[in-house]
Amino acid sequence: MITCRETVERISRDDGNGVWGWFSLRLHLLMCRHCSAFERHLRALGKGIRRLSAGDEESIRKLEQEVLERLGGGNGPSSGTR
Amino acid sequence: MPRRKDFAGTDIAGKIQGRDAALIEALVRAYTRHLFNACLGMGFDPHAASELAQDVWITFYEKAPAFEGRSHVRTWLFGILHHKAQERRRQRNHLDLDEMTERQVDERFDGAGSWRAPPVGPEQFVLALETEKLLERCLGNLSENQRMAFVLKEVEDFGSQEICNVLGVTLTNLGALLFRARNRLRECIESAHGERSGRKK
Repeated sequence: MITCRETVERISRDDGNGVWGWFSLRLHLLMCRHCSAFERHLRALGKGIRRLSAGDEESIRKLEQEVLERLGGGNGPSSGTR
Repeated sequence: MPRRKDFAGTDIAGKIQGRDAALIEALVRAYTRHLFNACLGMGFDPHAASELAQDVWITFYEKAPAFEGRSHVRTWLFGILHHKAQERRRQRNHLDLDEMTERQVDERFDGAGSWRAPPVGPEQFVLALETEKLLERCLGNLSENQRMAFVLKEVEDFGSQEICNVLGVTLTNLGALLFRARNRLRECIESAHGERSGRKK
């Protein structure tokens, strides 16, 4: 049985450690509410960063257009050297 | 995110070298949103994120004739982003902070590796995470490498080897970057929760 410290280490590093490693990790998480809470914290962090990274569609379209204009439709950057 | 097999044909490198207009436009349409979103995830405000993404494309275009196709074009693009982000925010010395993260994690456990100071409940954690701008503030405690590794993993869903290629680090280094990024963020959010619930008392 792996310890809580090892569990936290492996979840944090995305260290699956093979089939047996994965199995022992899942087993530990099933039985330990603190480590299970820790894992859910990391999942919530993942969700949080995805929410933060969701740019709005209008800004993205505008940015694409600006980039294409600056690259001059293949004729070179408008403010750079070719 | 376009799949790795997109833009990966044998003629792609040649077209990029020749700055093929149609291909460049397709690349801009495919990857601008991912570059922009990654910048937001790294804590840049929308204006700075937009400038940074444009900078990446200008550099991409200027360096296109030198593209050899040894790495996938998206790995190359995110590599440029990584360098640009570092240029913008001169890397602070995070060595002390790194040691602090390891110590903070260590202090949570007893000698047998069991929790001495368990984490708060998931619901309380999620509630704290929703505090306005808290995640942005906590992201400020991460080094550029940690932030980028975390964003590529969680937002862009890159595989470990590709993240290593973008950052120029080994798999062991990547494990340490993710460990520190996640634990530093988690500790930061949890301590904000502690301060808030402490104030209520």
